[in-house]
Amino acid sequence: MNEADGITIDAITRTAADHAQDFADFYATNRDTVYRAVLLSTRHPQRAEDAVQEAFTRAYDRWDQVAALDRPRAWVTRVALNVSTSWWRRLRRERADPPDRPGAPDERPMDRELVRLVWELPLRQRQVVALRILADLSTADTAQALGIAEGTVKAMLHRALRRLRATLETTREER
Amino acid sequence: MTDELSPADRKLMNSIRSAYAAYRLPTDRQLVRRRLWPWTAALAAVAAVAAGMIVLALVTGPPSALASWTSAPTSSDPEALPDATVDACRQQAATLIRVGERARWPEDPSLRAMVAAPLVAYDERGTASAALFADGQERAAWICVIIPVAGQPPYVELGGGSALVPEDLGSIEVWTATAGWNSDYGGRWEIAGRVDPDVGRLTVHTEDDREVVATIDDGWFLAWWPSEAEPVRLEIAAAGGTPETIDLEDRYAHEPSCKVSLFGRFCLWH
Repeated sequence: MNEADGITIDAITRTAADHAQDFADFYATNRDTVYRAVLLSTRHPQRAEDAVQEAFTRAYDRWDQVAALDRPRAWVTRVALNVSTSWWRRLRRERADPPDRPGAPDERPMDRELVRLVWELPLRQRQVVALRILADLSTADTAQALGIAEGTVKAMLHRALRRLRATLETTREER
Repeated sequence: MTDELSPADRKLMNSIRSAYAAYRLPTDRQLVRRRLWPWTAALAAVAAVAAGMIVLALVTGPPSALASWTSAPTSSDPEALPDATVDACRQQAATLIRVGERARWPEDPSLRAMVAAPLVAYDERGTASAALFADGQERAAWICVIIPVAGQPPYVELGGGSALVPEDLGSIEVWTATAGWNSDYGGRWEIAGRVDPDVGRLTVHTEDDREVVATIDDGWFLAWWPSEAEPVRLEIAAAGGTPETIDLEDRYAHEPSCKVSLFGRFCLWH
């Protein structure tokens, strides 16, 4: 037992343990989804990793409040994007090409092509794709996270999909 | 523009999800936090420079409880800190130990040191304050920031961590330099360590042009400021001596450094 100045570690309530388990479950369920969205937004794997972990740390710090939100994953995604944007601007250059996907050794050529095309979208379209599609946020949550109007989110998504579809069709025809 | 998506749009969206599904967060780093120096750890979080609309959108929120912050301490008397608040700071460390045990994260000895570490310096600036708990033997220093909340116990947040190799800067040693962030209170930085007895004044210059006069008490120093602006320069004035300036900006470049913490093994690339 650890005790100092009246604080007994073993006296921490069961609430704290449940709190930790809730957070652990939330983290396990959402970490990869948030990571993909931030990776695509930042185009910097290392920074995305750090930002996502940082965002989950923040969520843990105030888990009672975050867990009570309607969409805690949207909150974490927003914070991760915030952190990654700040770091990215200050410290790092983004990658021109998407990183290798260790989990996809037998990927289809079309998947690889699609990853690259999405990676090369203009920043705002890429961010909207990251949040709306990869993080599966609503239009409203995406708008809030990016600080833009919902109509802009819809327009950016529409343009991104149109551009991707056109490029994919061109690629197919060239083959 | 409507939000209605055609079947072709939905199919393409699913293809994008599928193509990106192979990207996964590495599992060997459970939680990572950005730190100024390799030995500092932050329980509280963060560090981002407040730039960009996304940052602004997140930071704007309730009125800051830190509006009364002053560049020089308004009190450095540890007696001003209620015992209950000291307990609350230690309680947070104890809670985190329990969380780590439950999640089977590698233990951070400095957290146990925090539970027992003495309060060595106190720094009050307006209504908010910071308390430095340090253990010379374990080389661990933790900073507890205390922000009053109307009608409730104060909000406390612990930052700091193991000082594996305190940064020897001549007349001072930096034991911890930690950034924190909270959606209610915004960003915050703390810096603390040992100081030679002949140092009479230590001023921290920050990226947002603050000049933060540190508390110096019995060989320890402590300073904090309510922004995400990083410390860029220290000015140290020894009694009767020439002021010394230490540039911190070139201290960001480090080889990858890995250590085990409460949240598991994490590595830093600064």
